[in-house]
Amino acid sequence: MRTKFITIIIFLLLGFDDPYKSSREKMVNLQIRARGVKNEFVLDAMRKVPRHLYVPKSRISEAYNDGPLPIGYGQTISQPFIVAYMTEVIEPEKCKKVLEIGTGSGYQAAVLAEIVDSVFTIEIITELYKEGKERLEKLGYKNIKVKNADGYFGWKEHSPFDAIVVTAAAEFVPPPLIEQLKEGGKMVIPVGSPFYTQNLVLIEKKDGKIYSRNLIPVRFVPFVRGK
Amino acid sequence: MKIKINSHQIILFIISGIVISNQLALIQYFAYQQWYNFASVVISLALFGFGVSGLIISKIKKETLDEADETIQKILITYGLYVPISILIEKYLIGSFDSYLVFFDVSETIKFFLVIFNYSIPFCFIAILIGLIFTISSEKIGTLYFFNLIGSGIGGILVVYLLWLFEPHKIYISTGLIISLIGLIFYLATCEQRISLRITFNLIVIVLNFVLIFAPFENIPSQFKSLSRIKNFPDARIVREQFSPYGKVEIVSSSLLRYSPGLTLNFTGIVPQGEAIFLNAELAGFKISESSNYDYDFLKKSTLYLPFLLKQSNNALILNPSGGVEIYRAVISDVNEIYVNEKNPILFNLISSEFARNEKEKIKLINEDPRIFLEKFNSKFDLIYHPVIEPVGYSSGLYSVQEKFLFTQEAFQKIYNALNEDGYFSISCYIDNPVKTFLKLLNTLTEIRDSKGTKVRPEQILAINNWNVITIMLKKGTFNEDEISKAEKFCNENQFDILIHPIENRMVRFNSVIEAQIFNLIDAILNGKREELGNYVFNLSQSTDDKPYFSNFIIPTRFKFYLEQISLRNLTYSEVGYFLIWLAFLVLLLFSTVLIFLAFSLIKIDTKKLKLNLLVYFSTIGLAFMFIELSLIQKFTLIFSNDVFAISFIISLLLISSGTGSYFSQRIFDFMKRFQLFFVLIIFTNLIFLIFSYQIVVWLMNWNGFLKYLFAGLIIFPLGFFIGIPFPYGIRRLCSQDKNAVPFAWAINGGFSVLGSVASIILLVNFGFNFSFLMAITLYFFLGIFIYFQK
Repeated sequence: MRTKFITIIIFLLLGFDDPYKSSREKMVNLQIRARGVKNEFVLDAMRKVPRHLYVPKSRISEAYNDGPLPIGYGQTISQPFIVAYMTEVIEPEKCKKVLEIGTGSGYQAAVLAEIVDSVFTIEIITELYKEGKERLEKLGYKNIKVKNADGYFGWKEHSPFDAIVVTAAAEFVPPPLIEQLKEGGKMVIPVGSPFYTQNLVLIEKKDGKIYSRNLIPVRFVPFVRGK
Repeated sequence: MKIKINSHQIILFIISGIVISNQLALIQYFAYQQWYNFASVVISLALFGFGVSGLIISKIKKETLDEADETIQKILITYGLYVPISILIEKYLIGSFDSYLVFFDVSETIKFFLVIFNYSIPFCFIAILIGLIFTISSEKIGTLYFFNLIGSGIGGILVVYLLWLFEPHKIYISTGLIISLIGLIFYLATCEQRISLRITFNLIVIVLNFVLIFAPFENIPSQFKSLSRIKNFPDARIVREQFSPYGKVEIVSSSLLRYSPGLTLNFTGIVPQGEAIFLNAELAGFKISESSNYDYDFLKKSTLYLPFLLKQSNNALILNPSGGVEIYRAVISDVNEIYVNEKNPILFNLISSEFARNEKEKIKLINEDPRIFLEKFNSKFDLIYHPVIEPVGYSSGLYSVQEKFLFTQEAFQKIYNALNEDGYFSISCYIDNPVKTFLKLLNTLTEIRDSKGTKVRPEQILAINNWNVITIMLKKGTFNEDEISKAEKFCNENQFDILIHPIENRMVRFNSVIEAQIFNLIDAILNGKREELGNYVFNLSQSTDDKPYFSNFIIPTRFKFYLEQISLRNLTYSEVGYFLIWLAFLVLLLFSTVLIFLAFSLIKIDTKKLKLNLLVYFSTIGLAFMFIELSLIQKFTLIFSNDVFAISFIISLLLISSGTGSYFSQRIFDFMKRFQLFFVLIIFTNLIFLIFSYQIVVWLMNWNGFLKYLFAGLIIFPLGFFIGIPFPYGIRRLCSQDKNAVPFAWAINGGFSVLGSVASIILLVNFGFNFSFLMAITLYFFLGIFIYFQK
């Protein structure tokens, strides 16, 4: 603990304000780019967002590991690759408006907010909502709006959305979410148990019809037991 | 003297019952916390305890035997103390392991190892007690056997009753309370100079057990079980819970719970809230909230609605109705008579109360296992409907060793035979990745034959899918133009795809969720080119009544590939559940090897040759007995439609029958004069059972209640009677030759019985009942030859 503290002080004195920068760079190169994520906006966002600030203090040392981590209340912060991949498949652009179902720690919302115009994120668990909102505000994200509600109903007042990112696996897609997806919009949803994603399904709205497509089968990295 | 003998008998009677009670309570305990795989592991725990006891008895000094009452009292109180401690050790010291993680996290593997060891210790205490009582009162062996057998039988029956009332871990702790109470009474009755410290200690143990029984101690299911996930919803609360030998049923209410498998993506209405029903912490069904104000439109916008849409069915049979929601699908389709099969009495009562007011005249609820219902009744149906099988998400093979007799080739044939002309069978599944459940279902369906022996043709099959569910329909007859046109219209409107079209090519327009390779496999199955399935990474061959493990997809020759996937931390291909059995086998192999090694090194026997002979003899009968026991449990799970009933019945009955056999062994030997003839009788009775096992099972399935158990008992008794003879007979012979060798034989037999129990599961899953049973017969055959040459 003491050594860690001294290391941080030395880094600060030397002008390195972020001791985890190299970990992030490694994460991007080895876990994300190597697996085929090419969108430079996404890679930059993943480099920029300090993942270690979105995990519980006891898990900081594992923040840049290649796997999901528990964040309490039975929820996880997704594997870095999944976050990057889900962001890439919705083709994020500056002018877009994205709805996220399941704020969790706020990490996915932060990554999206680095690229798109505005992010609306809904969290059902009140404690996570409070923690996530406070964290995102502290980190200065003005383009993220957080709401404590059931994600099933989406966020009608701000609809339609260019993209919807659902972070928890679902047995069926809530009809209001499809309604709130803009024509030509994309929704990404994981399939499998909430603790591991086996594949991702992309849902697209084209000419009033809804199409679904299987994305890559995602390498499973087992969830570490919650403390 | 009189009181001493009686008290020994009473103790023997109670602890014999407790052996079985503990096994069944722990099986249920782990079934809730983990997955089904642990039933065989628990049986192994008990046997391991018995194996170790042999070693310990061998080391008990003569002086200890002279003070038997004192020793018995000490063991009773140690058992009473260890039972609550074992729960506390698991809860607070080791921590529950997680089946999903044992291959990925070393600490979980160690926990797995320690938990197995922890729970084998109480069995060891009981086994030492049994061994001790048998040793000190060997002159009364006949009476002792009587109490041993009656205790086992009553214990098996009583625990099944208790599982209706109490949580399994409470039953387990209760055994600690009972034994410590007996310990105190025994002490007061037998000791002339009572020590107050001993009495105080005994009382403390009693209080500890008592407190733990009533303590708000919770058996927490794995974090990967669906109940654990839903309990995290903010307003989730358990509104009702009930125990039974079928497992624990819990109903969870939350405003977030909605259920609609197969729903179209273009549905814009409301999916109503409801309550989720869990069985052993896994989602078993859904109940629409009575307060919900909604229409049933969402039920019509699902792939699962297809069979109701194509034709107006006069009557329908719903198998495993998943709570009430699937019955509503039939109700809104105006089916005149809706038969619903639900084997679990608690779920049955739930459905009964839900439909007591609504649609009462239409719905006929049957509290019977669907497979047995199909076997017993000759009714014909326009539609036989099964909702989505397997839970949403992926079970990673955690149910791979669970018998599923409704999805076997024989069951599907029964279903087909129960259809009216032009009737439908409909079944749905989630699209797993890589696709395997659907392919196995299709492969099983296409093996069905009509009354002329002709296999099902592609024109009889129709399958549609949305983004994550496939509904397959099989028609008794070919689909006509009207039906096909209705199906196409339904798919167009709801943006479903026709995965298998009865006459044309498949129509994949909306959901590109299945890979081209899978289409090739579907075509191969439909065109009868099954050899092409051999190249697939999973085993897609049909499950049968002989091998009813529908959820096992492992190809043994691809073991290396799966292990590589586990090392790559890739769960998609690694089927963790199946490999858990292998891991359990390895752990128990380690335990057994240590046990056998200790037996060899610690127990002194006069000649080396005798040691080797004993090893061959007692290891073979240990293995063979377990192969028969576990194989019979598999078969009787179909007959009793409940694994706990089957385990309780078979273990109790084999104990009773083999004990009776051993009791009469000397008299039979005096009559027959040749020991080898016992093996002829064993082989003969078991072969007869094996040859007629199919007919026996079908015949027994047609009986109800007590008569079913009576006839089953009468059939099994001769098997147990003869296989029970070699062990006590061998022990008796040893007593006359070298008394030191008795604990050695006991330990060897225990060690190999442990291995036999898990090895038997591996044999059953990979090769089936017939093979496993035949292996047992072969072992007895070779042992007979071995004995013949040994003279």
